[in-house]
Amino acid sequence: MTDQRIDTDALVVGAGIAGLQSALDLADRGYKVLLVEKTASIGGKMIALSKVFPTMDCASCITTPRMSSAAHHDNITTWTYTDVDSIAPDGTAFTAHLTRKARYVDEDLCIGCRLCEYACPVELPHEFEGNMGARRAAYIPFGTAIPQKALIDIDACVYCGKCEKACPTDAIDFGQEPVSVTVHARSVVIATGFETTPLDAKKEYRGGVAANVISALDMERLLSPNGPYGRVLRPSDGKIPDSVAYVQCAGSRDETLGVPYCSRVCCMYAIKQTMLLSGSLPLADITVYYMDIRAFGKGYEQFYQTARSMGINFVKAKVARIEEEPNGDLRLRVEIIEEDGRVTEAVHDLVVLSVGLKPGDDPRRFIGVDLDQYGFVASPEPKLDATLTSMPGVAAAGTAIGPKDIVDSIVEASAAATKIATYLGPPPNSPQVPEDGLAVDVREIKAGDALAVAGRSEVQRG
Amino acid sequence: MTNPENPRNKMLELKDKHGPVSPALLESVRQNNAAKAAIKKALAAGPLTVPEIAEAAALPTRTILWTVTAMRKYGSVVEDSTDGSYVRYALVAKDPR
Repeated sequence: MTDQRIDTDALVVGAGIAGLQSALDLADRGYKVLLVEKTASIGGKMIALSKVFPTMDCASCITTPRMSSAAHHDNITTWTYTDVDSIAPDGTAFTAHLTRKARYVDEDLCIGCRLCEYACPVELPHEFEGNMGARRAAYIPFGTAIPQKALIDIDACVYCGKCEKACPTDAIDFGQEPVSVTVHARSVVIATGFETTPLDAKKEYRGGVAANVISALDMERLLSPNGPYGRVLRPSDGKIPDSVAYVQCAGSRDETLGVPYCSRVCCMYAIKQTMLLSGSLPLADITVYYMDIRAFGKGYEQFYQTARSMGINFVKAKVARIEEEPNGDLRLRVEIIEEDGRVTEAVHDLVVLSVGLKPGDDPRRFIGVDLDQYGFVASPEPKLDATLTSMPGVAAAGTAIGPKDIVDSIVEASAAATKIATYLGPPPNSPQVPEDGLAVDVREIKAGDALAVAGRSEVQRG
Repeated sequence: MTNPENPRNKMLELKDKHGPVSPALLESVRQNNAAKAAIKKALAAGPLTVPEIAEAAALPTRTILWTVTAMRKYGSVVEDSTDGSYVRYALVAKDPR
């Protein structure tokens, strides 16, 4: 393992949508940012989604410009496939120890042609596709990955050497070793995101056992135009489903799972998915079994009402258990809450568990910030300043703080960037501002200059 | 004398460091290759659905769907048409692999 040492104004941990937004906001203000991501591509969970509620924008179309801007920004250094081992206060700054894992591919030489991937003989379930699709031991993470650089999953390598022979630029490098890097950072943003509650958390729902019980993130991939099957099929036998059921609160509001809180996004993502499903499977019956529908955001209640008017069947009920039939169908035992509390049974081709959100990483593994009882980063001022942490110079953003949707994650990421900018003071080489006011004469301002003036006054405040 | 800069020697050095390839990995590669061969044989007569391929290949439908999905991704199988509730898959004229 070799060593490197670098300096930066801000170290942003996690390159999902929150980390990307914080990094871009800081970089646009002139601060040098090191953006680190543990996986082989930036983009986080959002890049795997089909569309976003309630606007129904294509998730890739929104995320990829942000990813690209961060990757090409003069003030941002982006390191993927990098672990954060520790971040410790060091006087008025921080010393961070990172490990850049070996890709076994020279990123400078790789041209993303995928010839190594086509040559590789080892096929594995692809995590990005909810294991419904395949990748190879030599692979590019996904179609819109940034960087478009291959890596070799060395644990799945059979050392056949076919990737080396296929590579036109001699980028395969089995001699690569992990690189240990010491970073001197003046500030830190924690944007470590979320993981979903495990599919098999509630044994009575048969998730992880019955092939046709899938998670909502799996359904995002099925609904995505570049998903594993290219259309919505059920995983057991490739049947185009005639009947799809959603089980809400399948990982949230449940003391037995240690997740007593509402995950805030499950109602809305389920409603979004049912609307998309009714487009891709116009003849299918779609049922949502729910305890409460929480459509609290701007335009969300209308979104829910639109789904109802489209014929989605919302049933206020609690699903007690799911059993798999020999043909792969799923028999649900359901207590109907809204009527007389009667227990009934229903059979569906495919069941989607609306799994909840929990912390994506344990930040205490690498930094001494306070966490709340569920493992999310805790602010000493949760009402007045949600992005604060218990450590000066360290902010947090997005689902690292708690479950929230994309809109709130992005707003919070910008708030965290503002807090860090205030903490850091004016960036090096910022415009010199005269003591008596703005750096420009207001009499010379034309209509189109408004934004530039706003930006400059922000630098003054910084 | 071995040249440490030779890419093949680097690969062999890494293999030595990591230890032998696990038998489970080799077995999964063998099974995947066998499934692909069985699917190609079944589809040689024309497009089929996943249950039809599974019957011809005597393999579980779940395995067939996963393998057909992989073959579609890497260009040796395409969607042909739909047959009721199932999709028919066909071999491409020229297999890139």
